[in-house]
Amino acid sequence: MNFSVIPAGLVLSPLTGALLIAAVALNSPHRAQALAVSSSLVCLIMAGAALWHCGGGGVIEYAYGGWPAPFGIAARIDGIGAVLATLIAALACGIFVYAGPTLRFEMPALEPPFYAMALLLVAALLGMTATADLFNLYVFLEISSLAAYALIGSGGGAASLASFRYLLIGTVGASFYLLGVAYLFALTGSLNLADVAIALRDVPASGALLIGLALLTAGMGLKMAMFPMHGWLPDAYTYAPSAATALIGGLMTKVSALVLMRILYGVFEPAHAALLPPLQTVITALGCVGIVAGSLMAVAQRDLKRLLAYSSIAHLGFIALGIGLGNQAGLSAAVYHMVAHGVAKATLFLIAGGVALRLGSRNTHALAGLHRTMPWSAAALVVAALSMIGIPPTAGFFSKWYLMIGCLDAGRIDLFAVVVASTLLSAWYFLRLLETIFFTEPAAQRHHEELPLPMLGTIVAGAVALIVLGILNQPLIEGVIGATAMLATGKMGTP
Amino acid sequence: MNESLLVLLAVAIPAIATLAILRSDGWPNVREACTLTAAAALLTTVGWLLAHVRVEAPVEVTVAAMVPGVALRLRVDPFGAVFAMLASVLWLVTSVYSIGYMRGLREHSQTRYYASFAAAVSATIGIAFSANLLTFYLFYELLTFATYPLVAHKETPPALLASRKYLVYTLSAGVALLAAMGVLYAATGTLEFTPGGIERLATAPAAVQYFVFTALIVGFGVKAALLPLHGWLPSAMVAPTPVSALLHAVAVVKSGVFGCVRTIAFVFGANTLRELGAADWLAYLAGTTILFGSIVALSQDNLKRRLAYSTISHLSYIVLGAAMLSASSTAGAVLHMVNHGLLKITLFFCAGAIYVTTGCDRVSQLAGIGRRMPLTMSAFAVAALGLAGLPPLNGFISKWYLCLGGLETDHAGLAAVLIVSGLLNVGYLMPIVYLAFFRSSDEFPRYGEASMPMLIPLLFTALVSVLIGLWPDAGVGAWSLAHTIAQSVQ
Repeated sequence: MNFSVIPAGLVLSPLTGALLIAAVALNSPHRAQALAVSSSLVCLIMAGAALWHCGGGGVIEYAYGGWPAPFGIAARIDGIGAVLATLIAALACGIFVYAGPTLRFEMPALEPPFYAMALLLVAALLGMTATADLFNLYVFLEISSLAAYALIGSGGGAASLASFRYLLIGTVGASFYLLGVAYLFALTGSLNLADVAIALRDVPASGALLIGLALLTAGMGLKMAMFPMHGWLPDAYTYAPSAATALIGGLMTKVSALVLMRILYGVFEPAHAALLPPLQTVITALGCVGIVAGSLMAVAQRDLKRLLAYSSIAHLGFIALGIGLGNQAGLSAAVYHMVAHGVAKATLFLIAGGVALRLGSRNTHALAGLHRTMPWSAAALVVAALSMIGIPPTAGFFSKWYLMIGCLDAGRIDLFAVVVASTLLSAWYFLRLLETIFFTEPAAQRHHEELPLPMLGTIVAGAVALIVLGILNQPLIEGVIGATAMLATGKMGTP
Repeated sequence: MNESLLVLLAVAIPAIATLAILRSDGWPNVREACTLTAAAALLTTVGWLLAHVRVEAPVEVTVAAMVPGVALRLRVDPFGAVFAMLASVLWLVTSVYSIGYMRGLREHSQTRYYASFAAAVSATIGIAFSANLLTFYLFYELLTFATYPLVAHKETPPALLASRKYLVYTLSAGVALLAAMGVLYAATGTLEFTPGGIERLATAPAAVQYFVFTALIVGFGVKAALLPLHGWLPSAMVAPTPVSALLHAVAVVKSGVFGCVRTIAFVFGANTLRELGAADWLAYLAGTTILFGSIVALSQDNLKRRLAYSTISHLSYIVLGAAMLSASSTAGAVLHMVNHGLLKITLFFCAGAIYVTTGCDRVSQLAGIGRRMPLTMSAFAVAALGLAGLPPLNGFISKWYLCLGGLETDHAGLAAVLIVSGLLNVGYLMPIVYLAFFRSSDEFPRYGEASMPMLIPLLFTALVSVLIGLWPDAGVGAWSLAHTIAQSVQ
């Protein structure tokens, strides 16, 4: 079997889907949905194959047009990339299955364009996980951002403003990134990640190099909403259509975090490890502040989607902390948390969408008695909340565990304490949510009105996945993430 | 017979019962049949396992790998089997009692109640059979979430407040456990319970040992209601009485105590702790808690609160027994775990029976009630004497070994604490018996016992307490098992 087309196929499949929708399905929501689901299914199969192949440290490379790197543009997917690609494809697939009823409710005329835009976003995100080229990455970053602006803005009303704000901040982030790439290109004459890493060895540590590193970090920090660069996130997540929030909130920030990880440990560490510690100190500190501040802001929210958005900021803090630690356990925790948090948060946003559809409100008080009216959704919400708090055997516990071990390995008792104690902060707002659901009398008596099967199926699948991912975390961590986290750190494998 | 299957079954039966109970919402008889069937099945399973580990090596099942070196693993050793046996016997008894109590009061949300109850039992069995700290932690957290709806059951503002308090205490405890596990794992690479202690922990730096010990004791001490971590327990008495009976006198608090004993004997081991000197402060803390609980109980007028403070005091008997690090005191601790469970559940059953039948929940209202409910109050008297440690009741036997351990290890002061606490026990429980039988009142003119589903369980547990007092090694052989366990961890 020929795996080498996968890195290109991952991008082409959803791109084709998006174009096909624009060509033949703009008047037919059902056809658009079918196209979206099938093209993301194709992606899922390819990503699964890549995961199968890259498990244990394999790499798949593809040279566009047959020009070998570093002269041509190379696509490359490794274990971590395959994990993220599988996550992206699986979530996209689930969300497309789910989306129909909420889209008809929230933006009736815009259904087919939603699928086209969402596929464009998926294509760009997959491209970011499967590229070996810094500039190509920028292109995908901009495509994903443009698609996201459109998706967020399609919510209408306040969403337009949120989208515009995200556009301004996002453009600044992307510009930082592009400038950083320009610095690296000027210093090394190359844009290929592996090639830049090698060329950097002959480049002395200079002001230019430092500025490049700082620009790249700041750019990705903005895109991954690292505290205090998170300002765009709460409004964007709150006002976007539910399905779009799930897609963007579940995936976009994680891919940027992956890029940051690659740049720090794949490009800079092998040649200029001495540059990293100060930056790592800053990133871990920001991660910790993000965890605490995000959680406290979440406690103050009464709007379900906004609460989830602030919780995202806290959990991106976990990922930043893992990246900042930079040791094997920390990086594994960061990657694993991208998956665990991606699935949990997407599931929660989908539930929020379902609640908005049935109860017409995003206020947390509207959730009272949810276990009677929508028992399966309520059960899924409990599982996802437990994963967010980090209760075993759900996936969230294990990312927290590896992060704890990473802190101890690095000898950072202070960070360890923050990670451990953050459990209580997450528990604070999630358990209050559960108390509202189970022990508050609903304002109006409601009948059993569970969501339609496609929506419910996706939500329940997300909850089940959290438990399965938790129980099967060890093969995942050991087989894929562990092996490639070492690759990325340059401790083995890099020539 | 494949024992490892039985181990999984023991955890699965109550879990399946939870789902079955949720599905049978709206058919009360089917629902209660589910509970009773599951309780009987669980008792059979655990009984078989207990008989098996009396003679054979511990049974072990690895369910899934969790983190490198630590798996989700269940192991039935004698100590875990005794605890599981206690929980499953009392679940069956409490289930019968619950039916009388909940129907007698026409309580709301009974389906949620029975489902949470079964889930809590599943978590308790999981705790009993956990082979390592991580598995223990998993079930310990599940127990918190399963019991939370029971504390909040009444849905009144005080109940919700108590349930929040409960969550704050128990989740903070979970955080302490998590921190302890992280440090222990980073230092030794294992979390496995080992009789006599984890070897590599003995060579770890003293600061690490101190931290792990303190954090584990804080983590388990919350559910074990050690001073000053006991605050949730009296508040949680707002729950329905069967909940107080099984969960807040037996399963939940005993899980905490069980964790303390596991920490002392199976994580650290007597030798490591003697060198570290950390067990001493725990013993003195437990001694203080014993006196504190007993003295505060004297002044409580609410019957359930009085029993709650008595529970706080008696839980520390067990912690004290383990912390004194001798074979006799450890055996006494294991025995007291069983004996206190039986005695205290009898007292709670009586309190609930009185409440359902007469609506009285304060001690001062009970004058002359012995005339109306003679059987209930006789059982109450038996259990009260048992807790005070009067021979030939079962409470005497465990207290004997606890005192013996105190003398063996030159902790005469702590042995004296146990004696004084026995007197205080008489002081806060016997006045109730006196009021009931020897003071007349016009309140309770006629004979009127509680309904059969409530009366039979409380008579049964009182009777078992007497029988164990007379023949400590009859039945499941708790006496010899306790000594086997105590020898194995020395």
